[in-house]
Amino acid sequence: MVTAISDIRVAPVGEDLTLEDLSLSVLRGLEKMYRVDKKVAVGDSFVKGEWAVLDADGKASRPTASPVGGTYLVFSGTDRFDSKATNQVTLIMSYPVIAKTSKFNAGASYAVGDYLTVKDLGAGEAIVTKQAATEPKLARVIEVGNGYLVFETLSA
Amino acid sequence: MYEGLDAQTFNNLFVEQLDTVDGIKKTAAAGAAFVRSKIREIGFGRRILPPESVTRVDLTRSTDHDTLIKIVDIEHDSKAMAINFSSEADERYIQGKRYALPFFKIESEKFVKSEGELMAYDYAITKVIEENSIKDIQKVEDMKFIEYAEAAIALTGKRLVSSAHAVDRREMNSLFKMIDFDQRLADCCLMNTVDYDDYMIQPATDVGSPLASEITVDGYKYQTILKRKLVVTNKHDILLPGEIWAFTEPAYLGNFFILNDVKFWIKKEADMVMWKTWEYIAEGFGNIRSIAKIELDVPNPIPVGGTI
Repeated sequence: MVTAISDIRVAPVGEDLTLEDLSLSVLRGLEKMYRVDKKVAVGDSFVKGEWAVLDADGKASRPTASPVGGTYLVFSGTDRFDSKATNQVTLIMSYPVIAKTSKFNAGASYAVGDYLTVKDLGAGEAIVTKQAATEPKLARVIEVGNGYLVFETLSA
Repeated sequence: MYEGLDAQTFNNLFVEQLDTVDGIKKTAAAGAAFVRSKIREIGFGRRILPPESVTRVDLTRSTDHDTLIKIVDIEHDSKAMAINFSSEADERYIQGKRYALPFFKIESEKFVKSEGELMAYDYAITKVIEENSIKDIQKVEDMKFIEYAEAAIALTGKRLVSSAHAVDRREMNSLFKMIDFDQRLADCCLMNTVDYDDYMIQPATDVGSPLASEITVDGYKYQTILKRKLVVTNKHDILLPGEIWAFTEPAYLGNFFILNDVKFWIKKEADMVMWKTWEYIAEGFGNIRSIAKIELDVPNPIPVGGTI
């Protein structure tokens, strides 16, 4: 297709388009954060609000089951025309930013002050989840909302 | 050119005209010496969501196939917040939403008749069929309109089932509130003629004696109900008795596009005359929260054994 419209946004519309997009909103740090494009590893894809790690070639790839410090929030993903043209995604590579997102592991419970990390939980996840033991602390929860988290990113 | 001619003369001239080099064109009406089978209405969808003409340059192609869409923006959300002097508000990187309306064709049947048989009609059958075809096309528009509206309320849940056997002001009020509660304003209601008939028998204790008296004599002759525009249809095969819809004004609802205009084609091959009508349209509701429906338990208006 020439358009970036997903099937659900083709009439008859299958989505409430008046609802706020909670996948990722940067609430603080937007002006000064480093927005850096990275090539995408073969076979990988990302959407806004997910996280990416860098592989040995410096390409954005999906996190593994072992979380690492160099994990970055995806600001614009592979679901766009420009990414199709460049084969790159835009990552936020500076700290801290305060972000609001619906992309978190809903299988855990959260409280303000909890640390977050990013790892594959078995289904190819690339979203924040509760940090455990010695896992790198990538973010800290500052608000627990209905269907979203607000967190500040940390330099792990 | 043909004004004032009787229908048989019209039909003869119609056939003869098709034999001329420049004669393949639309002809004017020439009488109505026939019994109508049913009332064909103009589309109710057009009264709720008026169509807008577009041309090819307004549309977008696909890389995968040879069809067209039009992309329409959805208004971006925004908000303000109360903060201290020394603070600052949240930031927002604007990312718009849009929806696409795919175009499709609605076409009448292809009508075929021999010129000899055409002359046997006492009314201008070609003209009547052409006029009816436009209304038939608009009926298909209405079918899609209701189909898309059903898809919208399936997502939003703005569908109220009532045990009431007839519509009254309370039911209409419940319908409108589903939209008004949602930072929108119900602007229009759609019901069929059965519910419209029911609305006219509300007792004086409900609607007041002057209005009840007036309705008893002249029927309900106002264009609005509870300040909302009233659209009534007889298309019971699309809109069942007891199904009443509410919509916001078009700006908050969606879009209805017509590509170019309705086309009429006619051709004569030897002694056979053939013609058809078609249009290309796209319709859709970008704001699905602007639609609500109430379903009443209205009994079948035709006694047992009869059919609608």
